[in-house]
Amino acid sequence: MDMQDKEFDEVFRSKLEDFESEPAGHVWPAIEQGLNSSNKRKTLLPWLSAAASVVIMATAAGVLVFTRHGAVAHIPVKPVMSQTPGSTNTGLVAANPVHSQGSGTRPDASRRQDRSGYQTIPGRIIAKNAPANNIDTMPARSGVYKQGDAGLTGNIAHQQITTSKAVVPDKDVQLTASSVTDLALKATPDHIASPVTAMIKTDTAKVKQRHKIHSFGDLVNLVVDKVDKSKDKLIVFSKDDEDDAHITNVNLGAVKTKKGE
Amino acid sequence: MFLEHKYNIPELVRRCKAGERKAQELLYKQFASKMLGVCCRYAKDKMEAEDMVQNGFIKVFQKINDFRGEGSFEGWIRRIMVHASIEYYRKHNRMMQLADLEEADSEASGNPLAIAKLEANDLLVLIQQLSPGYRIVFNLYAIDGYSHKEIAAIVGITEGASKSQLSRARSILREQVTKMERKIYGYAG
Repeated sequence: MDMQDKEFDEVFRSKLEDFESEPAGHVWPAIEQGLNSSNKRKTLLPWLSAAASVVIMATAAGVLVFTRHGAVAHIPVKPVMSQTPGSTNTGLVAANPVHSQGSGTRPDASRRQDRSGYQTIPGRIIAKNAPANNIDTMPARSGVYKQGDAGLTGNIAHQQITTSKAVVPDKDVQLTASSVTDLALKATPDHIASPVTAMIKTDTAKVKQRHKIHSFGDLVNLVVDKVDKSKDKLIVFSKDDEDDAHITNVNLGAVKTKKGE
Repeated sequence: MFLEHKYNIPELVRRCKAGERKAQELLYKQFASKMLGVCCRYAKDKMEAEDMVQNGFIKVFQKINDFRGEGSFEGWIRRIMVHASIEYYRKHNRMMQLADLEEADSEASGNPLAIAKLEANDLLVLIQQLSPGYRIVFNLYAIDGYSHKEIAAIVGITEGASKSQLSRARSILREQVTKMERKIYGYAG
């Protein structure tokens, strides 16, 4: 049977192996056209990818600008800041319970307002910001006690920081903090709030680092950071400049990997 | 056909690598008939085979820099045509239509002597009447000399499937050969 199969195959092979048939005239022009279009695709590809990256960058920039813009617009701090130290007891006070306790210059009424202000804040935010508040207010108090009168300008600066942290929804906390921080740093004499400024400085550094985009990985980090607020991000690329796209952290629910920092 | 004289293939290949369109055309003319002959076996008719040849030659010119001159150029270009033919069916999603096939008559013996009398064109018609799955496996194994292992890798089926399709293809062909012999030579059986 095997032999028969081989014979059978052999008949087909011997007769068809060198079978030839002349193609119709339209085949070569079609091949030429195919080659031309594939060449075009090859030359277009770098331009397309360049255009795509421009679009991505523009979108990312847009997201940054708008979120930053929106965050500032929603903070009650802004009008207060334009009011200068002389007239601090309006607007801002309502949002800053901790500081009013620390300085002791605020009327009781404002404290009541503070409480209501706190109640409107979702519990998650309070919990999240609690350590930050503690850190900010503790030195603020000591600053006030030690420095007396000179504390006023510093207090205002701190007020702005704590205010923004307490009121702004968690999404915008960091950005707002950074924008307010610059002002705070200018307004605060170094000797008053050195612990605070130290905190602020590190905070600012972190924020600035986030905004440096050197590589594709940085871009992805930035976008993921915007979208995914959890501690274990969906995907994190290494922050090493030498390393172009090195994934250090992946969180796909079921699949989780994390490399040491 | 087109050719009045033979061209120096290595020279043509070198010019094709440089992207010279005229050389590509000459190379095409040199091999077009042979390669259409290959694709005709894998296709159901000449039109389909011409589509395969077209895709195959585009691949040949795109990949010609991969040809290092080891082995014959004709063998290389032939392999590309075979792959282009299989790719054609994969793209058109007709790869493994086996079910709609007429049942093979397992009794058909396919007398080798009688088959030998059939012309190449007759045999080609028989192969073209197979469903694509059988046709591809039979061509690869029986005519182009691929092993079942290679077929499994190229087509994306198991070796077992390759073997069973080959034997099914053979039995269908045997039956058809017998029918054709009866028709042509008036054999009683």
